[in-house]
Amino acid sequence: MPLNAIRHQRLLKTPWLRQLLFGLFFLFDAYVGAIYNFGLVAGSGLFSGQFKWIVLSAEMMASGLILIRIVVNQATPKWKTPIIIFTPILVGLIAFLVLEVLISGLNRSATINFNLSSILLSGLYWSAVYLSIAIGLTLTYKVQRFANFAQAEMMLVGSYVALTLMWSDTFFSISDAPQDGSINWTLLIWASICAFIVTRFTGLLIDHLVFRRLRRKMATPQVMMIASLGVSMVLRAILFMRFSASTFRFVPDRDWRLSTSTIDIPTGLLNLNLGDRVATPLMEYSANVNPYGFAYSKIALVFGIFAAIIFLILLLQKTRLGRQMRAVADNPDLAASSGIHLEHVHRSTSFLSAGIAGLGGSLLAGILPINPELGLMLLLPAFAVIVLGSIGSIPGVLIGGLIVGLLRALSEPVLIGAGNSLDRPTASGFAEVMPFIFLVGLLMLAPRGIGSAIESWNIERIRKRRMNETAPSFPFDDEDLQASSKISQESKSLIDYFGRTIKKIEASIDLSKGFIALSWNFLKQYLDRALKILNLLFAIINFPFSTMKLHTGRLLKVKNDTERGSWTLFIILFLVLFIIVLLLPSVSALTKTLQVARIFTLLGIFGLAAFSLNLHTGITGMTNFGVIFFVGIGAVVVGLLSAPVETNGYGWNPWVATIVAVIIAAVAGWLLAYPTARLRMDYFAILTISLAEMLRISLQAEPLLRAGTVTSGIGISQFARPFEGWWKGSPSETVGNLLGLPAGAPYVILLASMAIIFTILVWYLLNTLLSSPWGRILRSIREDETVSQHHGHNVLTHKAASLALGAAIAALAGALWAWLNTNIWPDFMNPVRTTFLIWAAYIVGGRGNNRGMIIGAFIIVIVEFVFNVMVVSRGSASLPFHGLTSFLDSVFSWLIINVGGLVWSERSINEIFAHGNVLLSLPHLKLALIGLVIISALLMSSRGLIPEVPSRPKRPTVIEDSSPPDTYENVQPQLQAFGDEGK
Amino acid sequence: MKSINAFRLLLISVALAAFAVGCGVFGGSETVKIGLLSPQTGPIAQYAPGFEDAGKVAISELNATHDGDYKFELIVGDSGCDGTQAATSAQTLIDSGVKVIVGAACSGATLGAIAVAAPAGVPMVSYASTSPAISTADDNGHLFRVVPSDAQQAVALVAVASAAGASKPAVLYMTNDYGAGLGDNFAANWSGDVCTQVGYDPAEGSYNASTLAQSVIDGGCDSVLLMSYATDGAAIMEALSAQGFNGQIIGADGIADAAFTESFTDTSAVSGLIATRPRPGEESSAKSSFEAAYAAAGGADGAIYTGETYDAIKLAAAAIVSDPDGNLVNALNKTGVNYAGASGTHTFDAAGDVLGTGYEVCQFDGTNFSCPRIWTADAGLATN
Repeated sequence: MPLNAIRHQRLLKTPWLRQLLFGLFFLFDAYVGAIYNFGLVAGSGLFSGQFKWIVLSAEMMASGLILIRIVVNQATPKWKTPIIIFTPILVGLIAFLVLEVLISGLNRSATINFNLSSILLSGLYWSAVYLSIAIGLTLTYKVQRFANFAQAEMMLVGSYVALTLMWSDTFFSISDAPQDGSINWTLLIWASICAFIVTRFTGLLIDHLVFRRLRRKMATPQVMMIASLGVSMVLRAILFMRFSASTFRFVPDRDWRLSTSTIDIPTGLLNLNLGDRVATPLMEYSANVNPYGFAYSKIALVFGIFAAIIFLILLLQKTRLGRQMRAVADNPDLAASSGIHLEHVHRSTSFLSAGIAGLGGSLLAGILPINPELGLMLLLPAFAVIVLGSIGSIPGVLIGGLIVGLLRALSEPVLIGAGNSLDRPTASGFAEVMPFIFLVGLLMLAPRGIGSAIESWNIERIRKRRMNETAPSFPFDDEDLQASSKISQESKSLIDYFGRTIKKIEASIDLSKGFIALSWNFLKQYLDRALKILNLLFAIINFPFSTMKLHTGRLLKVKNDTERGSWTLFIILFLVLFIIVLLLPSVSALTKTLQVARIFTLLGIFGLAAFSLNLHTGITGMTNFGVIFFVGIGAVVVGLLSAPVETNGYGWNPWVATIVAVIIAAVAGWLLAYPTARLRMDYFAILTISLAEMLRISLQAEPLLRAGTVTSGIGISQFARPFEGWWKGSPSETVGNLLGLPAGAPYVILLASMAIIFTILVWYLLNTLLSSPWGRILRSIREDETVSQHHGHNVLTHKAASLALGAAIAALAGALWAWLNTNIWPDFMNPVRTTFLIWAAYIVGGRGNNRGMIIGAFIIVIVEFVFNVMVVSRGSASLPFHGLTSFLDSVFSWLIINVGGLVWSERSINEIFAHGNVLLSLPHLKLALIGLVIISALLMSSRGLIPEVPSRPKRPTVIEDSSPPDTYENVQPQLQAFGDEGK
Repeated sequence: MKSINAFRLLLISVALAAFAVGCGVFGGSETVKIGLLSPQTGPIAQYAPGFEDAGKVAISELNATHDGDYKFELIVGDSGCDGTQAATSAQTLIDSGVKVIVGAACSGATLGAIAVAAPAGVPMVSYASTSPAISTADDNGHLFRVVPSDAQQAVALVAVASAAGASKPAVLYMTNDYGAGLGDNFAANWSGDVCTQVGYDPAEGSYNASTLAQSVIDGGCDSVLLMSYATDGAAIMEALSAQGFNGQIIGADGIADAAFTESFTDTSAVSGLIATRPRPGEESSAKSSFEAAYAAAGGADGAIYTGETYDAIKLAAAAIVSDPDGNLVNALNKTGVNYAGASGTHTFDAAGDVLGTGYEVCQFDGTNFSCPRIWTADAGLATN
């Protein structure tokens, strides 16, 4: 007992006091720094100008967060939940405080206009938009335990169903009817019903084709996630091919979308005056402003989405299917053993989540112009919503959605007001990443999200209720209501009414269940046939891979679980890919050389990034979705530091800049480990991807991250590249001129050689490190953190070191990338183009094995080049594949007109393909093929092409098996090393 | 299993046959391939059909003019609006034997592609990259563009806004190189008060038109400068109208087109808009004849920079024809002198930029589109 008390004191009390002191000190320091230009940061002379106040505000914000964290951690259990739920408000207050101090310190003033109804209703609108993807996402996550990237495309399928319906002969007259002052609901209702049904079956089909197979193979959530990424690529590509990249609007009735089709909602204007207030008060309120017009289309979306959530909650709580789904979510094995058909539940989940997304999509199409890229824009904020609401909790996701939506709406006036005052009119661009910034802050405070706080509060509440048995079990129970005399007659009848309504809803759920079962059986026979055809299609796509596998396995008897076998497989695959590179067409020796040089430079960049990801995720077991964050740090720092001084750069030597960039990235990686130590795997993933998005938006919106032009346009350009000065205006250029090479051509080859050298050096370094005791510690952390801690390893330090090393490698890749592109634009950090592709390289190549990383990166790079040859082939009959593309065009045209024409109207074809000239969009066929390559590689082998070599101690009896001695020499030194590590 | 193997064999032979047919080399000595980098995927994919349609119009006109001498072929690659992807596509275009690359649209894509094209000795003519970084790119003289830099149009917009009586304008602009360039330059040149400046990302789903409109109204602004593309511009104008804004709205060449009304559901919101765009050559009929040809070919609606795309291709073709075997960079510099195109009269300066010949000031009366005034650097605003 005394021991316990002492430990309690040591663990809780002391760090708390120390943190409080630190927090208060930094808050004070930042405050005096901002107002009196004095203190650690302001007085040290390390920072000046804009940097000074950026650092000051960061310091103040951080100390504020530390103080909130202390409050959250020290609160008694009774108060903890309310405090966690109200942290968003506390964080907001601190943000305002920071702005006020900052703007006063700069002797400026800022006016922030809050239009109350506008903010509230825009907030509702944003929450409904994000929730339309997030509900399906959280449901899949709850039951199937992976993040399904294809949800966003499911939503779009719904939108396009609505559009197709609008263009149909039956409904076009409604959509196209002239303005008549009254609204026709027919098309809107039919569109949402059809979208709901069609997307449900699409979801089911995809589950059957892809995810069911992966489930059978016991694939990890990461593999399922990358497979869903492939699915989303294929779906998006199909939407692009059928509906083109143009935007279309869904018009249920012309009157519906007039700028007068709004409900006027009275509003008030709250002006907040920050900074230097001479004559103005802090707050002014005026009610005399124009009412806010809330568009009908937005009302439909908000009602539709919230109705769907209520439906879903009722379904989960009140029906047999809902109970089964909850049971599977809690414990699949137990659920299976108590007679629940797991596959059936999985199928129903895909069915439901896709349907809700489709419903949202059809309603969203009535507001936003729809194009196939829209889903991607909403996917990441939807992830923020589900993480905020604790993944898998439906009430949590509802609250998360509301918070994120309101936050988004609330932050826009603040960013506009403060941005204009701080010479940053582009600051409003940050509204897009506000959910992420907030999420990062909140995860530091409450590592398990808001939903888990609510859930634990709920459990507490239910426990209390069970303890005093008198409380009614169901609030709408008729007898209880009659017994309670305190309730007035009106409210009683109201509650009666609600009780009846809920019963009606339940009855309708039963009815819809019956309907679903009926239509399911009816459709099943057709579906089975369709599935057979699709299976055939999959077999066709699989065949190059399966033949490759067959050949290597049969001819060479490769055992990929030994070091030698793994190397052999690597060399074979590398040679195959290299032969493909040599086979790529080109017109002259010069262009062929440049082509090969480019492929190897890209291979170096993607290979290094994949090494970094492999170290973080494959070896240490931290799911890092922010590789591009570290790559971006590398590129941006190198670019900024070596850009000319007269154009906002710093004019450093590129090598020095590279070393600094690598160090900065490593420090960022090291620091990231500490606040994220308590986070769950998937929360760490969303946190890292959020960081990457923040850096991308900063590149768009932050003037300090621009260099290379006199007018400080977006982007970083004109930076020096290594050896460039040495290479140009020197003998090498003379030789180049003599050979008739255009200027710059030799440098391309130099860059490729640098990429190859960097890659080999890093690979050697990593192999050495990973076969050392440190590598074994990292692997043990991946396998079981607790055991490794038990053996006396400081897990946190090792994780931090791994993050730092990986970040440094990624930064090197970023530097190479900057030199290759000669300029840096925000788009290069696009998560779809970079993060997901690096992940695909990592999963396809074989996680945990650096040889696999090279093969994976090589495939990802080459796929682009190979399919590009097909993309450009339409232009000229002399190009390779021209015949094939013409053939594909005719097949596509037949599919759209003759097969699809049975479903959709001629108008829907003519809207997309002018003059009925149906052509296949080749870049999107490329996208679909890349997606299929990813899916089929995973279906073939979910461990990747070159799986990790299991490192097991060599048995003393088997001496002739000569695995290379870089992992384990023999038992004795290994035991020795193991003993040493424990100290 | 045996049947599957037989099936595989069949598939392999079909694929090989297709490959063999595809690889068959045809063509004659007079064929000239012109590459076009179009943003077929990525954030501005919706404008790609317009660029490609304009390109097809140019190529079919060229083939009609040079019938018998030359056969022009347009090879379209996907820029993805991204430096890395555009560079890879540029490499594929060069591997297919193009003499010149027209493109790309996004400035980042153009700069990425030139890093591949210049070392291979293939010049590029961009039709929509407005970033100042294009002028200073390390391109060894290989990079040209037929769109003027934003700085000048911003000056024209200042003159238009003053003439319209704006005293407290709000500036709404896209946070890409085009929008931010125009917006920043406008704010820098505007002598009076700027009521509020708001940047937004034009991708659907990342901005809220009604919040942008609300910020204009809450700031008490009397006019709006709108640096947008067609779809987002229409959404913002509809939202402004829905929130009861009745001040002057002034736009730039992203929306200065009769087809802008196609982007509206409620076309009443477009009335009164003033917008500037590069002025075509004084006695040139190139603009009207291109527009007629584009409409006849069924070009995509709501397109932007179609005239520039058309000009870039025809200019490049003219340079190739003028000196078929010589240095194409020199030929482009020679051809690009007072070249009367559909989007203005183009003269390349030392950096490969065009200065332009001033701007047309267009307006919508109801849905009727007309351009009654012009603006030039020397004379300011004048009637057309």
